[in-house]
Amino acid sequence: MALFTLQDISVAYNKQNILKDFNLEIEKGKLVSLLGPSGCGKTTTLRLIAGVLQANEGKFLFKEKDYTKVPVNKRNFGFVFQNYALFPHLSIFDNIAFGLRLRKNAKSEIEKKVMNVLEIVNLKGFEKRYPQELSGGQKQRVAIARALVIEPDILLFDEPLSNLDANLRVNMRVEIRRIQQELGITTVYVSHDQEECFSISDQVAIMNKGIIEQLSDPATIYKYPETKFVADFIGFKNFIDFDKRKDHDGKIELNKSGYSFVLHKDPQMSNSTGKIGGIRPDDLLIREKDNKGAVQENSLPGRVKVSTYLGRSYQYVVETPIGDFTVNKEMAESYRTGQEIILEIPRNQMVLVD
Amino acid sequence: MRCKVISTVFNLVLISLKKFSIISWALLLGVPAAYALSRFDFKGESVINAFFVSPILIPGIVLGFAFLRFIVGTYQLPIYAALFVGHTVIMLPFIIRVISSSLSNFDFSIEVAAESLGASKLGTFFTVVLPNIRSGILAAVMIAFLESFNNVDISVYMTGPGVSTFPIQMLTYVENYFDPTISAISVLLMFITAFFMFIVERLMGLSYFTKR
Ligand SMILES: Nc1ncnc2c1ncn2[C@@H]1O[C@H](COP(=O)(O)OP(=O)(O)O)[C@@H](O)[C@H]1O
Ligand SMILES: [Mg+2]
Repeated sequence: MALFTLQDISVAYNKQNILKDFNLEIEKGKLVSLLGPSGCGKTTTLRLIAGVLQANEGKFLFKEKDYTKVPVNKRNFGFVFQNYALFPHLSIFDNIAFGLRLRKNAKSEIEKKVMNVLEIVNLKGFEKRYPQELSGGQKQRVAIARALVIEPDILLFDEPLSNLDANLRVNMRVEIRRIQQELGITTVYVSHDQEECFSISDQVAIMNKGIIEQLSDPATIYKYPETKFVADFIGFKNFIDFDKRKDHDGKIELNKSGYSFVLHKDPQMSNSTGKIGGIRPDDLLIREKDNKGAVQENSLPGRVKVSTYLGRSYQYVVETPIGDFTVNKEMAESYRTGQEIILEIPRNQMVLVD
Repeated sequence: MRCKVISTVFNLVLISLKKFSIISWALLLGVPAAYALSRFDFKGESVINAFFVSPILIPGIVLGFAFLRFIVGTYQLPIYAALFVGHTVIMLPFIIRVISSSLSNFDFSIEVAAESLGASKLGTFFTVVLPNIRSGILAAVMIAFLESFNNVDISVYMTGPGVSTFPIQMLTYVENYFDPTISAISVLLMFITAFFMFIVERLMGLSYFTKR
């Protein structure tokens, strides 16, 4: 049973729809990410769940009760911001105790809870400091502690790691996942970083222009994107708009401008009848042109247009009769700009989307 | 002579007290106005902003005459009321501008944080917003004090029997006597002003008055 549900939600700013007929259901104890490019409505969705923003239409159900009109301060949801939003005039202790004091907890109780949560976020001994005296990572821990200490029913994160440097980001996301699982707290996590979302989520919702394009567990999304947008977003950089598609038992035949391709039919692949094929730069094979003449299966003749050094590998942009492709290839063999080559699409590496 | 010094000091204290009661009143209007202008986007915001700043732009002589005409002339209110209203109007633009700049450094997501932790809107304003703009408020009080204390052009209309302001009394004094008293007082006033500006500079930096 879902802990909370967004039902046919619409939000508009200045008569412009930001969310339209938006539906989302989240189960108790799960960590669900909203992932999408900047401006797609992630923060709006989060603010809506928090109660900061009122929907123009639709309902917000919490434990099957209508919470649509319940104001922020009566919801008991924790909110963690990208810019931490700590109270600059209060010490770390008072920052964390803020919610408890409003709940009229006894003094000894407050002390116990604050110390306890400081231990959870590994910040013992910092209670007398002020926010300006902490590093970014420490501030974000305080923000998490402040949200956790009120024992919220839902924890909301809005790009909490965007202001931290790369190493710290990885540590913090592991930390967030650990705390979330230890306390079994239902969490909605917003980010535009794919790796971050995939690494910590039970489920990921890929958003585009105010709608959810796909909601699934990370592994499924990574392997079986259902729409072109999702495929593109998670790294299928090459797309072929096929002219014909023919489904057989166990395989699919595709054709583009006279070049034919065969794919394995993966039973887990979506039932879509889409004719757009997507493939990652890492999965395309590139080899020197041989003089055997006949074109082999799933292969295309091409010419290297641009070659870029990526460190571990080279990236080539290859010109073919059916468009340009981006290919990554390890260092060992390299190709010159202008060289004639053959591109091959492995049978099981392409997805088909609408 | 000594008696005169004591009564002067006493007078200064009295003036200050009156000033601060007007300032409190102006703060009561100015802080919410500055808050609303910074926090919300609404239709006619720039018009309201311009309206609040307009007393700076209109020549004081004109403004003072208008007050006299309406408050004392049309509405038959005592001259004190005119002084009160007049000085509130002089102070407001400064209060609003100083507090607005202080609020422009304020991160409003902190308000959402407080509310998500259970604070009401009003509670958030008092426990989170006010403590974070207190230096702005203090600076506003001082600027307003100086502005009103040093004002002549509007105050000159609002004097009557037994009702006057310090600079106006100085003006009258110079018209009638010619002795070093005024020079002494002027130096004193310069020191007071410098002292206040020093505190304001410490609190917020004077750049606050050059940007909008
Ligand atoms: N207060 C606002 N007024 C007008 N438009 C807004 C406001 N807040 C957000 N928007 C618009 O709504 C869209 C979604 O914003 P947001 O939810 O913040 O996106 P995200 O968090 O995914 O980057 C954007 O196009 C943004 O310009
Ligand atoms: Mg956002």
